[in-house]
Amino acid sequence: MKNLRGRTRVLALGTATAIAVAGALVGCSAASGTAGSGSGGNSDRPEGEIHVLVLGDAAASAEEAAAERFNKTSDVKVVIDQGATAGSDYQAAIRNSVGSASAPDVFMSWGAANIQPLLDAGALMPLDDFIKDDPKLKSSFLPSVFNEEVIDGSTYGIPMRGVAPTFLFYNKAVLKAAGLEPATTWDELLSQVDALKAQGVTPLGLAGADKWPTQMWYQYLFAREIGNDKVAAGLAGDGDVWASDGSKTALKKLRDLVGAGGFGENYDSVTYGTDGSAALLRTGKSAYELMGTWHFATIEAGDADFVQNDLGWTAFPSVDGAGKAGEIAGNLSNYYNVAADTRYPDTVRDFLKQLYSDEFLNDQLKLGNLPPTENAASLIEADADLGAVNKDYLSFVVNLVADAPTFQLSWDQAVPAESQTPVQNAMADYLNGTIDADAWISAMQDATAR
Amino acid sequence: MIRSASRGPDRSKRGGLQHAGRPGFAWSLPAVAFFTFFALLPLAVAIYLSFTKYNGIRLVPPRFVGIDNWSRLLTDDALHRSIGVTIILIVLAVATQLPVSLLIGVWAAGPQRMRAIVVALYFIPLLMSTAAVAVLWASLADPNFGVPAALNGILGPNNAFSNLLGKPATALGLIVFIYLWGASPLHTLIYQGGARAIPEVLYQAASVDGAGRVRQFFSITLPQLRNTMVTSTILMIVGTFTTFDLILILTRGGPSGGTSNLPFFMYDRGVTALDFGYGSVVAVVLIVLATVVSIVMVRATRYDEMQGTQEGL
Repeated sequence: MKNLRGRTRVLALGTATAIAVAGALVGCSAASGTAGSGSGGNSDRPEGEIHVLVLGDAAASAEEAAAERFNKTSDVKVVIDQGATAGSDYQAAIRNSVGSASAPDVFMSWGAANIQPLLDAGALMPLDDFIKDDPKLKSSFLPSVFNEEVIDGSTYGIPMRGVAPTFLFYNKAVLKAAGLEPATTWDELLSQVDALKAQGVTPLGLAGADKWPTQMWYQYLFAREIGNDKVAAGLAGDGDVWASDGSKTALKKLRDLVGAGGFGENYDSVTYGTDGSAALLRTGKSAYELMGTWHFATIEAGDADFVQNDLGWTAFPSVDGAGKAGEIAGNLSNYYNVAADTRYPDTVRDFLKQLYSDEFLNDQLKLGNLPPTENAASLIEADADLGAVNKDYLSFVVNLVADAPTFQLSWDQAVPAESQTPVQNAMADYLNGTIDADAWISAMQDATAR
Repeated sequence: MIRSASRGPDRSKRGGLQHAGRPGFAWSLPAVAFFTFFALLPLAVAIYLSFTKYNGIRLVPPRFVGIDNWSRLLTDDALHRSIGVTIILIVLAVATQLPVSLLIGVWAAGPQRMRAIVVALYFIPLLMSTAAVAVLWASLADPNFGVPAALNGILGPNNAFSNLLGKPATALGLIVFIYLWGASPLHTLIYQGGARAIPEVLYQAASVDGAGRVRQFFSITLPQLRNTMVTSTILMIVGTFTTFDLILILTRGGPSGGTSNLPFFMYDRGVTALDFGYGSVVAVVLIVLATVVSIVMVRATRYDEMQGTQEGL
């Protein structure tokens, strides 16, 4: 009797502790475990309004202003709902609500791989009829950006935020002190490493702890060595691309750069988020940094004078490879998608026209975003509020994008969500030497296999 | 003999009054209902999800896939490493926090006012949110602008501190140190309370018998704190098992998975990768491991019996 009671109590205590341990954690995966009815249906939706779920960051203000303008003349009103600030939370909310009456009519996405599961679920409306009604919904935008969410010949998203290619930023004063000009070829860049190290400077700043900045180096070396078309094929599941000679050459070049001390010794401790790598560049502790368009605003927030005087930018150096000159990589844009069961498709179509209106695009410029539109260059030229340096900068980005034969979406966003972490890990692990080239190749083959 | 007259009503070996005014089952209903809805039910859902493929889209309900997710258990090296990281973290956390908080707690139990002031300062980390603490330590550990940069002048460039978050061993070490800094005040508080409850008469008797301070510590303080130690250690283990926020903010499981413990791994696979089936498998593994550890702890320490340490006084 006593024994039995003892055992029961042991078990009860044990499981109670264990469940307390795991309960909270399970909660977060179970919260989304209950499946809804699945068929929202037009008439369940609120009457006289459409809902737009926006990512709740600083750039949302332009979208709110667009809704305000639109509502002045529309009977069916656009309601802007502020969503999560973090992309992953935002996407979880979309996934959990599509198909229900409370789902937004319009929401934002990051590219084709990002919307594919929603498309498979029948949750997205093809926008081809919208474009037939108003061709400017397509013709206003840069084709390289617009085509990202054209899937099997149908358009599912309209670009709505800034274009963000990556390129090299540099500290003019640091290069000058070392007697160097910004590198235009890979060999030049490699040869500058020693000179910069001799100055006590990290040649190439890298926020390795965050992994996605590491990825940018792969994106460009592969674009130069094998070309973005091959890269796109590899990301779409052609495993031979990763095992090709060009791929191996790119990998070797990267390791050579690491071995030469190009990134310094402690790049894996450097973050982007807490003003890590940006501070390195603006305080003269690093000479170059490969980063996206937004880096300008990040550095400006830390030291506006530096941006006015000593911040330089240049295209990624050329490499002797099979890639075409001027191929670029980075984040294309974000896109507005439309729920398949929206109650007022005509209102949605008319609201989307805001995305190419001058007011909306000027608001984007004010936020430091480069609009993904054909008229971006003339808008920048005409904008009286922009300073000379900002204009130079935005014009450089416009030309970089306009002259690019291809624009490869960041690899971790070009693969399905479940492959995102493996892709990032493979790149961080190869760069710091945890895995070798063969392991990297098979990791990429696994992550991109369909 | 001395105190036997003051002993209260007869206590059973288990301690506490048996059935004295103990309410019926109905009294525990609120607690049972709470536990069912917020622990057992989610647990059941997690077990169900672990046999399905579900990517978080409500329109596509979870699809039953049998043991597909479970079969990945044996082959997923990342999961195995994650279990290893979890265990190492727990062992290091207990090995550092237990002695430190025990010694400081016993020291703080003394009556001197100066000690109270020092201890009040020592407790400050308890008041800070883990998220804020993680951001703060991330800045301190920054190799170019934090403490390591200052140490370069003394220890030379590329010393042991210059790449703290870039190597698995040092990143783990830093996390253990932050635990120690942040969690040991709580345990110190527990030991302080425990030490103050030890009857003064025991020490007086020991002094009369000629026992020195060290002898008193090992022969009186430690045995008297046995139950306190068990409670505190269980809290440490459970707390370390579930650590998530610090790792998410400080290292995001890096470098190269070197600090990815089970809760972070579960988040990474379940929520980030939107693979709720496999994420639930990891959650269930976490539950099973925690259950095993709990049972072993309860058995080994006889926590369920919890005999008093002052019998015979």
